[in-house]
Order: sequence, then structure tokens, then C-alpha cells
Amino acid sequence: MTPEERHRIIAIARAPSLVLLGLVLLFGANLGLSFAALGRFNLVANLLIAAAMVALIALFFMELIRSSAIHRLAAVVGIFWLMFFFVLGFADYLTR
Amino acid sequence: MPSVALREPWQDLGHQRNSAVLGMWLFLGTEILFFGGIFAGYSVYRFLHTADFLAAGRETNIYYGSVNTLVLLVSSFVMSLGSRAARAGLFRFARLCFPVTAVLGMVFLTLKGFEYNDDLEKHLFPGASGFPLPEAGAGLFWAFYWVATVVHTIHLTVGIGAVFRLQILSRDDPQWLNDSPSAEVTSLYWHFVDCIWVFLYALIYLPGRS
Repeated sequence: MTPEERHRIIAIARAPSLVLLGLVLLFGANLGLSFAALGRFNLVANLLIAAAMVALIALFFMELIRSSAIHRLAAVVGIFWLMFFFVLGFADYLTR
Repeated sequence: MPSVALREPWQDLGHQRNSAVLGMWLFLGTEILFFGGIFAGYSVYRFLHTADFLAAGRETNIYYGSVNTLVLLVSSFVMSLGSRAARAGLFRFARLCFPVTAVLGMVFLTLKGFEYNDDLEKHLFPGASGFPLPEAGAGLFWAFYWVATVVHTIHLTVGIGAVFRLQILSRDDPQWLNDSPSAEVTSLYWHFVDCIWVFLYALIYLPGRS
């Protein structure tokens, strides 16, 4: 490996390394918080941290942050339909 | 001469790449709904049997689950490096990252196998004789556990195959990694499978610990 190649590898690895660090810290926070007695807020905290981890993966590993508008739109569509799915599903059970 | 990576009906590699990435995102949209059905079922039953789900969640093996989560996060990091290296023309490094990613995927599957064995030895299979949890909703939780993790495992196995495909097809022509959208598209799929696990970890392994 030439010094120039090594330099370029370090350059492309910088952002993903920071993201991995963030993911590991969030993972640790999620694991640690699950042992804290927060009552029903345990679930809320666990899901919020999981959502933050997925956001990091989607934005930086899946590179949505530098994607074109059409790719971002396609990525959001699935989540949009999932929201409908949950809202309509729970509209029944929460109002019985 | 056009690149061998260029396929019908596209006329240039850029257009082909945009279309392939769009196609993968649309496919992942259907996958979100596929897993969304499982998550929605879990959510409704957890809402109806909250205490039972917490008791059942305590029986999962948090050591296997946590180590496997770290393994998948690192695999996503390495896959991201591979995809970026392929785009930057650093083919030797990319061809190092892909097998490392696949091996990490296989480490996950191996640990999952040990975990399944552990679960079966404890009879943690709903409907089987000797299922140790008396709560009514515990069986539902463990049904979700088996369905969701097996479906995830199948997805990961497909991902490992797709990553090895990159390695095989670029063996004689590393430039293919740059011309073809395969590395980017495979990377998207791999990260998606990781995202699903991040939620599964929160819903399966973390309930009932406090």
C-alpha cells in the first residue's frame, strides 16, 4: 500500500469511524438505561435511542445525507406508510 | 468501449447507478412494511400483555444479544468503508473490507446458533412441552422472538451471499466495483438489516431488565 493510498483510506474512514463511535456510545446508553427503574419510560428511552442509532446508520452509512432528493424521498416513503400502519392499527386498540 | 458493468436498458453508468439505488430504496420500503407488520403485532400484544412481555423479555440472553449487536454495528462500519473505498477507486482496500464484513455476519450467525441452542435447552419455544413461563402473554413474546429473529437471520444470510458476490465478480476486474452500482446497493441492504436488528435488540433483549 502506497503512502498516498493510506492517506486516502484514512480520509474516507474518518466520518464512518466517528459514526461507529456514536453508535457504540448509544448502544451502551441503551443497555445501561434498560437496567434503570424508569417504569414505562424504559420503553420510550430504549426506542428513542434505537431510533437515533438507525438515524445515524441511515444518514451516514447509507449516505442519505449526500443522496439526491429522489433517493431521500424513496427512503422516507416506507417510514411514512409505516406510520399509517401503526396509527390505524392502534386507533382500534387504544379506543376500545 | 462501454463498461461490462453497463446493463440494458441504461445508456450510461451514472443513470444505471441512480436507478439501481432508487430501486433498492423502494425495495427497502417494502421491507420496512414487511418487518413493520411484525413490529405492529408485537406492539399490540405488548400493549395488551405488558407485564407478561416484561417477564418474558427477562428470559432472553442479553449477553448474546449485546455482543451480536456490537458485531453487526462493526460490520456495518466495515461495509461502509468498503462501499466508500470502491467509489474512491481503492479496490484493494474495498476487497479487504467485503470479506471482513461477511465474516462478521457469519460470527453473528454462529453466536445466534449458540443462543438458539441455549433457548431450546431451556424449552423457550412457545407451544412446546415444558415451556417454563406461566404468563399468558409470554408465549406470544417468544413466538415473536423466534419469527422475528429467524426472518432477520434469513435476511442476514442473503446479505452475506450478496457481499461474497461482490468479491467474486470483482476478482478479475476490480474496476467493476466502481462501474457497477452493486457495492452501493449491497451496502444499503446490509445497513438495513443492521437497522432492523437495532430495533429488535431494543424490543427483545432490553424489556424487563430494571
